[in-house]
Amino acid sequence: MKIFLKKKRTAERLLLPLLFILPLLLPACGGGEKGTAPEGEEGTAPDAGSHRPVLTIAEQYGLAYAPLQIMRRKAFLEEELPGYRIDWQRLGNTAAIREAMLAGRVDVGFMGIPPFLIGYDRGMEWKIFTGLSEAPLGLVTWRKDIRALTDFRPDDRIALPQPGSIQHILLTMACERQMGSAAALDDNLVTMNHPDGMQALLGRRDITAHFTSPPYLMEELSEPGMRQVLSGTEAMGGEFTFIVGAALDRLLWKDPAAVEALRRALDRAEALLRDHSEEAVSILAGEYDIDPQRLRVYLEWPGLSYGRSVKGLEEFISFMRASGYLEREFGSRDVVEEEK
Amino acid sequence: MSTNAELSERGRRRRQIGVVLLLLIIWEAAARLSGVSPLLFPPVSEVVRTLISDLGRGVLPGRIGYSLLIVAEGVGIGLAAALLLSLAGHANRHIGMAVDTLVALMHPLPGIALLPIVILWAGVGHTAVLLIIVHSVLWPLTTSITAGIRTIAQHLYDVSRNFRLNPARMAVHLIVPGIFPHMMSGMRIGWARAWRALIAAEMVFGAAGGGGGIGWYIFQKRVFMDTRGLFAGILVIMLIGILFESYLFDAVERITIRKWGVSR
Amino acid sequence: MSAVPLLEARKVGFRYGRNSCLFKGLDLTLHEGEFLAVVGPSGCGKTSLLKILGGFLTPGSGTVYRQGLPVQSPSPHAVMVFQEFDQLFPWKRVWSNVAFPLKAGGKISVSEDPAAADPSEKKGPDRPREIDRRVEEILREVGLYEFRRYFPYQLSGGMKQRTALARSLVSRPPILLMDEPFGSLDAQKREELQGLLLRMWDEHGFSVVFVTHDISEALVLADRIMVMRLPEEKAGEEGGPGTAAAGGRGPCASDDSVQSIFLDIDLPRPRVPQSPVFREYYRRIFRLLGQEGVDDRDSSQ
Repeated sequence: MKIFLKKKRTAERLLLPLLFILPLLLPACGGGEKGTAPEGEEGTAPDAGSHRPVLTIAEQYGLAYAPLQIMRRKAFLEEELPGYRIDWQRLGNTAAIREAMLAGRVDVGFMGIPPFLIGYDRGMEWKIFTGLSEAPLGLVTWRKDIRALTDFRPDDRIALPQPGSIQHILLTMACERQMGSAAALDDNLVTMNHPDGMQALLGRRDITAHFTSPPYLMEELSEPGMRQVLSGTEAMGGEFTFIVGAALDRLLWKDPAAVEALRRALDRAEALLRDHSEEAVSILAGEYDIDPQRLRVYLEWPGLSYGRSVKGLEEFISFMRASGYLEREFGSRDVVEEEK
Repeated sequence: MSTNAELSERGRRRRQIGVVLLLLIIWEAAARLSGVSPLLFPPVSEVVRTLISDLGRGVLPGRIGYSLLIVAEGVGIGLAAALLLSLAGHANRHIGMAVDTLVALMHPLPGIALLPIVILWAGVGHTAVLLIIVHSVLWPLTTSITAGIRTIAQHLYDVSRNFRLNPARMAVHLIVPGIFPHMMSGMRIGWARAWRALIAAEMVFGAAGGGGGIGWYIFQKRVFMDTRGLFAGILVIMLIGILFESYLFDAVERITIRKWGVSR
Repeated sequence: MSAVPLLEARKVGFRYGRNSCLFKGLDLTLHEGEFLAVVGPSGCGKTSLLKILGGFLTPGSGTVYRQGLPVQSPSPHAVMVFQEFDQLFPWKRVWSNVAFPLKAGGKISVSEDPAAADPSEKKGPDRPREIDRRVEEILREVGLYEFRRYFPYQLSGGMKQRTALARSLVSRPPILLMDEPFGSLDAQKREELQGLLLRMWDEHGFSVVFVTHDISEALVLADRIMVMRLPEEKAGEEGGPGTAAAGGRGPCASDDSVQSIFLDIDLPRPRVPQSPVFREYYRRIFRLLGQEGVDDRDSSQ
């Protein structure tokens, strides 16, 4: 009896640590290892025998991502890349996309430049391979007494998406430019996603101002009493690309043809958009569930344009490094994968 | 002079610490040897280094303080409200039934589920988080205090009446000590729920400016891709949880219900 | 003895439930310094009677008067001591339990006779010291001073009851109402505590109503014994006004002239259970309680 108990305890003693090791080793199994390409193993449909390569693309909701939605609905990429399976994912926010790409579960993601730079700075192996859109960004307030950044009082609250977002970085740029200190408004910031931020702004109670992007920007400004205090271009001191496309290094090395095909498909989508064609409008109206007339107004909003150039990269890099958001030394050439 | 129970308690703690050290070693080895990017799985040594530097630089203590303070506030409010509800329910049968029903409805709701409603009613910020915490502790405490009131010996009420105790004195001498064992178990449950709800709420609500708690700290680490800091924040949460559940509550029980010989 | 009885119950009746009546038309008087025992089988209402006397229960009929004034609620003037051990606060040490009436209750002395102004009645900063002095004094009397820092769970049954006794007497109440306080103790402990109670009664001069089902105990302790019987026991009863024996009908008889049966116990203390007179009393009470015919000549002189 005693021997049995002793055995049991020893077994228990070994079992317990074993049970704890397994979950810790999970990240090692799932992905994120350098140099391995999950060739078609992720989400592979049980095609009899065939190993179709899969391209996983993460998009987000918003007018700035319109080319993606057009491309998806018109299956442009499927045409440029026959034989591939395109896996579209819509993740909650930029951080989630970044994490999914870090883990290797997503190949291509679209986001603002600052979140990309932070990832690159921390060691993520990815590059910008295209621009997507330029868009008007603005700081909107309901308060009559606020006409400039200097008018904000200590207990005023400014809502914007998470720290490190392009809105946050632009605001700090403007603070540096107008008030001499990038952190001047840091204590006034509140993190809210765009829908919540808009709701809070319209409620005129919880927050004083909202730094936002299309279509929320348009909706807020069409509300009587709302005024824009700062625009993105003012903050930047020039034009800049709002959303860029990033791809994992591993994709760029192993399958540059797919990246080229992606670029071509985007060109086609943007052509459709550029003319504000009926087709584009109806597709997007369905996607966003917005009245087509209103959508047309938004599409024609000054400052909103779609194109694949990347602007403002150097300015972002130097500002963020100077402000301490980036630690490593690198230049715009290091982070962009040029077109052939 | 240590009793047998205390000696085996100490032995148990030593074994626990041993297991923890073993896990840490395994973690370190796995992180360094597995070839996984440190962005995904940082070694514990680096996490600890980040933890110490953030504690020293002053950011983390403030966050920890904020979280603990708001939990204390919420628990205090919840405890007072639970006492009120339980006493009222004990005094009047109909109120008692209403309270029981209310508890049965609200108890199963996790605090996070109420988040959207709370945001609508209370905005974001201190009040909203406080409401979530109060919700987390109120129902388990009410349940346990109600049970505790029923276990108070009837004779003690008679003794109190004999000497014409006013309600305030009755509360202090009779009710509060009487419900203590049950209240402690309700408190353990409530605190665990509140702590979890708080961290989650902080991550969602973010913070206004310079404030914010540990959940906010973790959220910031995430968006700035500071995985070591992220793990450090998680470690802090675990440590605080252990501190409360294995040490603080234990200590309170030791100087109260175990001293009185009424531990459950 | 003073003219006004310390405690008086007039035509007190009590029922629980709609139809079950425990007793009706019951009279009782308690004089200063008197030790009255109430004897009867379980279920006859002794505890309820005691609670009515203490003001813990409201009688269905009749009134209880304490020093001429009607009793409506419990009061520190009449302190109850229970049989069960859970009457002590488990979270208070012996000292705190005993000090409780003085600390939480109010006045130190409950004597209502202005002529007997208690010199210990102090106010202000002297009060804590006075409380300590009283508590120490009574703890020494019951022999628990060395155990004053113990918690109830660390005490034996006898020690617990001694603590309860000390607590009930620390404020020097004029009346003690005891509900089978030694019923949970073994025979030896019971004797010890009976002796202690008598000593303290002799020393302090309070009055006692002592409920018990143990005839011996009642005889050892009391000046007077009230015998209560169950209703069924009225079969074959003589009685009615005018008979030499104040023959008690059983309770809940339909007429109102029910008297309780009181026996004066004329025995010197300490009482010796083996003595023939003692045994004679015993038999008498036993018969009063029993089925047989009763020769209940009032045994007073």
